[in-house]
Amino acid sequence: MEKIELKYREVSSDLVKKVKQEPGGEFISRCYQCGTCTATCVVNPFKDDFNPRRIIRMAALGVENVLESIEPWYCAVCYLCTERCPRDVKPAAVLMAIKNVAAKEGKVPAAFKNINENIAKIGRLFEIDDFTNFMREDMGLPPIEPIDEEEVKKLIAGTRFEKIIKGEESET
Amino acid sequence: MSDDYLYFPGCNIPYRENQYELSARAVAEKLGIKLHDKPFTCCGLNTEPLDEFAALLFSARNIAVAEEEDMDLVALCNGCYKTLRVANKKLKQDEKLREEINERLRTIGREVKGTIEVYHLLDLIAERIKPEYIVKKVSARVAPFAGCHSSRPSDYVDFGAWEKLEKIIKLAGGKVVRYRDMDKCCGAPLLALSEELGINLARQRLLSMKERNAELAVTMCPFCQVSLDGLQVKAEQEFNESYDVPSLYITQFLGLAMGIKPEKLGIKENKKDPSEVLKRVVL
Repeated sequence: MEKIELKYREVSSDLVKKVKQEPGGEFISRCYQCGTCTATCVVNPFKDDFNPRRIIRMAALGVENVLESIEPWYCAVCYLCTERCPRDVKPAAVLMAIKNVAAKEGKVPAAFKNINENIAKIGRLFEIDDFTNFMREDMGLPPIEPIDEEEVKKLIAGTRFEKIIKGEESET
Repeated sequence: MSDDYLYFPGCNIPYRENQYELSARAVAEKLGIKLHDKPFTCCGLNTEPLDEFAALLFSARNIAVAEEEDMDLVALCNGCYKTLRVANKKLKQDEKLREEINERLRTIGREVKGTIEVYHLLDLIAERIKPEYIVKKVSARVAPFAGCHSSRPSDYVDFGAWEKLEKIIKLAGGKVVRYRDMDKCCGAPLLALSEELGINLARQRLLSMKERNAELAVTMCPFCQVSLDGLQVKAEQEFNESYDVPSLYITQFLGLAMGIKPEKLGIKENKKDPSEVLKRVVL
């Protein structure tokens, strides 16, 4: 996971197709690069290399490195760009689609992978242990019952999500 | 309108923000809103970056549980609210997608039919609250913070969160202050990748609240509260600044005005101690 570098040898026409196939990626080609998304972005002022306009341009050009980059993962998904985009590209959704394509190809930053490993196992982000439930009881709150782990297992069995979690490369 | 709702706790509230649930239950009870409990998985939000379809699957699983109980879902977290609200609308509108999801749900003996609605608790409170419930005035200068996912993406989530939050604050005796960039992200979603970025964003919101001499911030989401409350303490140390805008959940703020004891609202669980301000402003 590194900074995107423009390497023409790695440009492929498949990338746009792949992004468009993901939910939310449909409108990537509408983008006329006005930069409203980047001007609106709350992350960009603190992180120059998180530039949604640029990431979308790279993906639209078919620069495969965009999938290797950690940049799309810095999106806070606040949807301000999506509200303001004059071409209704839905930039936050396009970045989500790019992340989905990267994940499908096994490229997921550790922080995101760890979170989802928990979800795939216990159904939730954090385990609510006896101590937490004891604290809740003390406050007068009902206990949080665990999820049936078998149910979670069955729900995701054989899905693309399960493959991503298990680190199995999927067909591209 | 029904009085019975299934409470959707999400991941964050039971793990580290139990005072939100405590104060929400106390306020809901006084307003005649009955919250029921069932084991729910993650709403799906955390899975979206990896696989939107799997995220929808988790949402649908929870929606199916609510349909089995024949009750609408009510969330306290903006993230859960947005995720379940969007999923529910998509599943109702898109028959093909619903069938695709149901095919998988049947493996766990569940199904989505499209029979329930998803609400944010703030919406239900705003509909029921009346001046006669208010027995004390919390007469502070208040910076409302409705967060992102209570009103965006607006194609799907649009219940007037900001207006309703402000209405409740005013009814409880507060003076609403507007401030720079008030509709921007609190920073919490960035914490997984970079604490530094998260703190920087939280600091921006706190600085602009301070600029308008806000005495309290009021939130309606555990992520926003973690930023404005927990990260406020951290940012004050790191930047050697003082913002002095303790943050309360709207249910804590309103609860005080409804005469509910601070212990029943979990106020001592908040990281940035609001007791000094509250001594001054609760009349």
